[in-house]
This record gives sequence, C-alpha cells and structure tokens, in this order.
Amino acid sequence: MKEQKETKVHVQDLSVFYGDNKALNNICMEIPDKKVTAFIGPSGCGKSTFLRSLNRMNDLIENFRIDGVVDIDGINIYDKSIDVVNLRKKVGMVFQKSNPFAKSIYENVAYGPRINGITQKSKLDEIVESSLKQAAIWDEVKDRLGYSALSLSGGQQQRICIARTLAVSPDIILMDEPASALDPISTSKIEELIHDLKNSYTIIIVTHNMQQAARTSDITAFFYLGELIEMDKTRTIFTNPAKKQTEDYISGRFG
Amino acid sequence: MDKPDDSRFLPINNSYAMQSYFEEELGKLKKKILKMFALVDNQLDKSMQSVFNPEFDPDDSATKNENRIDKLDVKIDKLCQRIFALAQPVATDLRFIMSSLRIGNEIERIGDIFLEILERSETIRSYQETIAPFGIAELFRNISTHMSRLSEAYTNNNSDLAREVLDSCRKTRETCKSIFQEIIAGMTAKSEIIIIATDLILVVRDIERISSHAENVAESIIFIAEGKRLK
Amino acid sequence: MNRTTKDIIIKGLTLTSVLLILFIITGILAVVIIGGWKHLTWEFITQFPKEGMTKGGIFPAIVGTGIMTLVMTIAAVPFGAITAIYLAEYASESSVVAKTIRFAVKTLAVVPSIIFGLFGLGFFIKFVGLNIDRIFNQGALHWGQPNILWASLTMALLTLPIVIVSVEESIRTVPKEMREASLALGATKWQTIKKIVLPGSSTGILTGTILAISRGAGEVAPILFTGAAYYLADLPSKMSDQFMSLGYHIYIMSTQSTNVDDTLPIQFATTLVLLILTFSLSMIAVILRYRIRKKAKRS
Repeated sequence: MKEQKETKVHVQDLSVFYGDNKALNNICMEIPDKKVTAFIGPSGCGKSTFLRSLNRMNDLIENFRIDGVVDIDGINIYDKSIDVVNLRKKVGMVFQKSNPFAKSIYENVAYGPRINGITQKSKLDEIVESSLKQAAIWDEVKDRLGYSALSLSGGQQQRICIARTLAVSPDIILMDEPASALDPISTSKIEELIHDLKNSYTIIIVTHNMQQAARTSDITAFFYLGELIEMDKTRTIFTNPAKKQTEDYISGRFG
Repeated sequence: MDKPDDSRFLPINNSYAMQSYFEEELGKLKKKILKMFALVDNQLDKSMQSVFNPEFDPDDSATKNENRIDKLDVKIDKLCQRIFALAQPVATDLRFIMSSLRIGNEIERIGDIFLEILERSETIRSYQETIAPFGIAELFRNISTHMSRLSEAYTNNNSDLAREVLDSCRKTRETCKSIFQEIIAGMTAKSEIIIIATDLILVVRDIERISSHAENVAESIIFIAEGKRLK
Repeated sequence: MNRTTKDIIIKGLTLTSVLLILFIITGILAVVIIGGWKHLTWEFITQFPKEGMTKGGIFPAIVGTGIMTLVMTIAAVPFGAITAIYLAEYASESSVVAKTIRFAVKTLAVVPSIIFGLFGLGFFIKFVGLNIDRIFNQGALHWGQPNILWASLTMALLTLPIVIVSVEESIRTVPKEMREASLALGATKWQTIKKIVLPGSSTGILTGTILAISRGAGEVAPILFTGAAYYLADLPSKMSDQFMSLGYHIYIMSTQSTNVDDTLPIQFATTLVLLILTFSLSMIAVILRYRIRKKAKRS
C-alpha cells in the first residue's frame, strides 16, 4: 500500500502563553496532507489551544503569546508579513457548538464568498450548491434555502456550518469537537462526512470522545498538560501505544 | 453488619467507578482461563494414568471433565463478547481479551486431544515393557511442565517465560519426531508389536499436536505483553 | 410567623403597590383626558394659536417638536452608535480610553437636564455661535442666539448616554460565537461588525433610538434658553430660526398665561397630544421589534 505522506503543517517548538500561564510546551509535530489527524487528551490539556493556534484564532485573546514556528505549506503563519484574514480563508474552522448566522441558509453559505468579493448571483448559486452537496445536506435543504438557518436541527446546523467553511475553499479544516453537542445519528453523519472530505481537504479534529477519534482519524496525537505525549497512526495508538500514559488514558484509567 | 460497599456508587463521570467494574470483568476472564488450564491438567493426569497404569479403570470422569471444559469455553466466549460490546476496550486490554479468547480455544482443543489419548491407550497400557524404552513418560512430563509454566506466564503477563516455553515446545516436537523414527525402527525389527506400535505412534502424534497448540498459547501470551505477532 | 403567612403578606404588599401605581397613572390619564379631549379637534392640531393663546391650535408646537426631535436624532444616534461600537468591539476593557468614556457616559446620564440647557447656552450659543458670527458674518448676530439647531444639539447631548448604553448593550447580546464564525471565515473585524453584529443588534439599536426620541420630545429644560420660543407667527424654515415646542408650550401656558381658566383646556389638550405622541413612538418601537424578530425567525 503506497502511502504518500506529504506534510501540510509543520510545527516546531511551539509554546503558547496566556499571560504567565504556559498552556503549550515545545510542541513539535508534522501533520500530513489530506488525512484526518485527531487530537485527544483530557480537558485542559491544550489540544483546543493548539488547534486555534493553527488559524490564529488565539490572536483574539488578550495576553496571548506564542513562541516557535507554525509552517503551513512551508510558510510561517506567525510571520509579521502574513495577512491573518487570508490565512483564515485557507484554514477553516468548525466550532463545537454550531453557530450559524441569523440569516437564511443560502446567505450563511454565501457569506464567505461574498466577503471575498464574489457578487455575481450565478457564481454564488454554484458555490452554495457545491458546498451544501459536499456537506451532504443539499437534498435536505435545497427547497428551503431562504429559510433561516436557525430553523434547522442541531445536526443540520452543524453541517451548514461545515458547508459555510467549505464555501471559501480552504486547504485545511479545523474541527473543534464538532459532534460533541449532537445526538448519535447526527454524530455518525458528521463522521461519514469527515471520511468523505478527507479526500480533498486536510482535516484536524479535536475530540474528547476517543471512540470518535478511533473511528474517524488516520493519525492520532495525545496531549497531556500542554505536552505532546505521543503521535502515531491511529491503529497503532489504539492497539499498541508506545507510552504508558497514552495507554492509561485511552483505556480510561485516568482522565 | 458491614458497611455497604460505597465504591460502586461513585458518580458516573468519575472514571474510577466504571473502572472497578471493567477490571472486575477482566479479572473474571483471567480466572476462567486459569480454570481451563486446571481442568486440562486433570485430563493430562487421567491420560497419563490411562497410558502407564495397567490397573487403570476408565470411568466417565474424563468425559464429565470434557463437558466442563466445553461449557467453560462457551462462557469465556460470551464474556469476551460482552466486554467487547460494552466496554470498547483498546490497547493492552484489547489484546488481553483477544488472546484470552484464543488461548481458551487452544486449551479446549488440547483437552480434546487428551481425551483421544485416553481412548487410544486401551491397548497400550497392558504392554508397559514394550513401550518403556521409547521415553513416552518423559514426553508427558514435559507437556505437564509446559502447561503449568504457560499458566504462570499468562497469570503474570510474563512474555520471557512464554518465549522459553515456546522454545521447549518446539524441542518437544522434535523429540516426538525422533521417537517416531525409533518406533518405526522397532516395528521393523519386531513385527509382533505392530498393533501396539501403531497406537503408540498415534499417541506420540497426539502429543506433538498438543505441543503445537501449546506453542500457539505461548504466542498469544507474548502478543498480550508486547503487541507483536510472531507468525 | 410561618412561611406561608410571610408569603401572603409579601404578595399583598406587592399587589397593593401595583394597584397604587395603576391608580395614580389612571388618575393622571383620566384628569388629562377628561380635561382635554373635548378640545382635541382637527382644527386644534392644524391651527396656530390665536388671541394670546386662549384660542386656536398648537400646530407650530407640534411641528417645532417634530423638527427638533429629528435634528436631535440625526445628531445623537450616529455619534452614539459609533461610540457604542467602539466601546463594545474595539476598546479593550482595561484601556484608559474605554474607562474614561464609560465614566463620562455614566456621569452625563445623571446630570440634571437644566445643566444641559446652561451648557447649550454657554457653549453652542455664546461660544460656537458667536465665533461663527465673528468669522463669517463680521460680527453680525446670526448664529450667536437661540435657535432650533442649538436646541437640537443640546437635546442630543442629553439623549446621547441613552443611545450609547442601549446600543452597546444590544451589541453585546450578539453571541461571541457568531463573531468567531465570521472571523474564522476570513472576514475582517469591520466586515464582521457590518454584516453580523449590527444586523444582529438592529432591534436594540432601534429601541434605543426610539427611547431617546421619546425622552427628547418631552424634555423642556434643555431647550429653555437654547431655542424654544413662546409664540412665533411662522413655522421655523431654517436652522437659525427659533421654534415652538409642546413641552415648553404647556409650561408657559400654565405659568404665564393671562387667562388661566380659558387656557386650561388647551393645556390639557396639549398634554394629551404630547402623551399620544410619546405613546405612539413606544408602540412603533414595540411593533418594529416584533416585526424584526419575526423576520429573523423565518428568513
């Protein structure tokens, strides 16, 4: 089985501080392209912080400070010359609690392209349809694109949020516990979706649900107290992890 | 009146409450496998007596034992299935359960073979002088040692010990092969012992098969501890 | 005493105070309505006062109040909204600028309205107005006197805190998650404010505006020396004109009219007009809010 492993994100000695509090300590990792990488670990271990460092959403927090390098496609995203707005188009994010805008389904998905300057209705229609199809929700909403996105169920809303992210054609999709607020059926739909999307996008997902990490990801990284403890193929982590800490965590003996 | 055991009533999201139940289940599994070892040890005893004691009186105790082994095998199967379905075990726990399932199966087959030996040895036991030179008793003793060491290795998760037993079992099989040659040579020399010799060869063949199954058990024990498959 | 008795006593007390309040309000309304409704005719609303305010209508007062309120709104709302956006979105909580602005707003909100009037006189009229006259009119007195512009601006200062506070509050009701979603899609902060925050807080902004308008329509003290007049033969046609106002009209009639008995019904009717005006404004706010909410739910 040939495994072309191109690195999409290269992180070198990344440390993150909130004021005096060191949230992440010297993280080094390589995230492969067009695969699903899962971050697992107990609450407060730094996995969400790390995720948000990849699209610089942490910049919004006061007294946030960062040391080290985050390279995406060979470019350090924390370089002074980087346009954060452009970065966030390339690295999209889906949040834990679905947060569609108080607008119609169409307008939600068209939001991204619109702010990028696309105003031609036919082009927007095309993008909206394509994104909703990729998010596996087109059939359910194609007849009510004008309805408010808030009138949908939680699982549907989350897929709209995914479609919205896809509409700006990112390379990387970050997902912060995307299914934690959903019922099992919606969760499995989202997991199916992740499986389909990884053919075209690099996906990084933070989850506290280990079975979800086991089901959906190719690579798993285990964080604990701000450190990267182990990172390997998912099947190796879950059948024969190298570190005892990893073993204890995934078999539920702590955390 | 003892104070009721509070440990089960810890809040559900405190992992320790679930853990003691899960660990209990794993403990049950281990006990059942060790019971398998013990039952098959009984079968080994009975089959040794059957081969080497001319006064041996075959009663139904061996068959009863066999039934116990079969029933236990089914129980082990069900227990493993339940743990898989309810606890989604991973890593070492996963390997432990998979291997225990396999070990149970292997030991059950070993028990079957001992029963076969018991049935075959009816003709042999009256001819102790004939069979003595071939060193069959030594083979039985070796198997007994292998099995008890395997149960020790399983209990203590000792893969080094399992490796030693693996080696010893291979040696036992070699020994079996050379005993075949000796028996065949003996048959060629003294044709009146052919009938006994045939049964004897089958018994030695049985021991070779038992040794092979014991090797599988050893490999499974190594897999629990190290996560490596030796095939 | 046991808990149930206490319960009953408290319920009784609250009920009594509610009834008291209702009684007082009803009483006031009753007095005004009974005193003035007969006088509330079409002619009353559309005519000028005649014969020294003892007859005729209050048309110029209605127009004056209207124009003043309009100018006041145009001055206060954008300025207040921008300040509120700055406080809610751009300023960090601990910055000196933010703290200063908030302190100023709080203080401004409790300043007695007459002080605004004095400020309007001293600053807008005597300082700004006179200096404009000096620079552009060679000293001829034009802007350096009370007029509708200065009165409106003075009133705008009064209502500014209301606008700022209600706009800021409604901006804060827009959940943080929506802003994050917008930023994560590659929007700039301003795009996020324009497309997500402001539309999301439009109800609050509207409510705040209408609250400010209602307040401004009725206040008298700030316009006392900055532009209100007792009687004008014409309607105000330019910013440098003075104007008549409903509130001022009621005050003058009840304290300085020559024939109190004759003017009493007119006072009541004027009060009624002012009440109806303020009430309608609140109703418009309620209806608009309802409509906007319904629209947001569907599309």
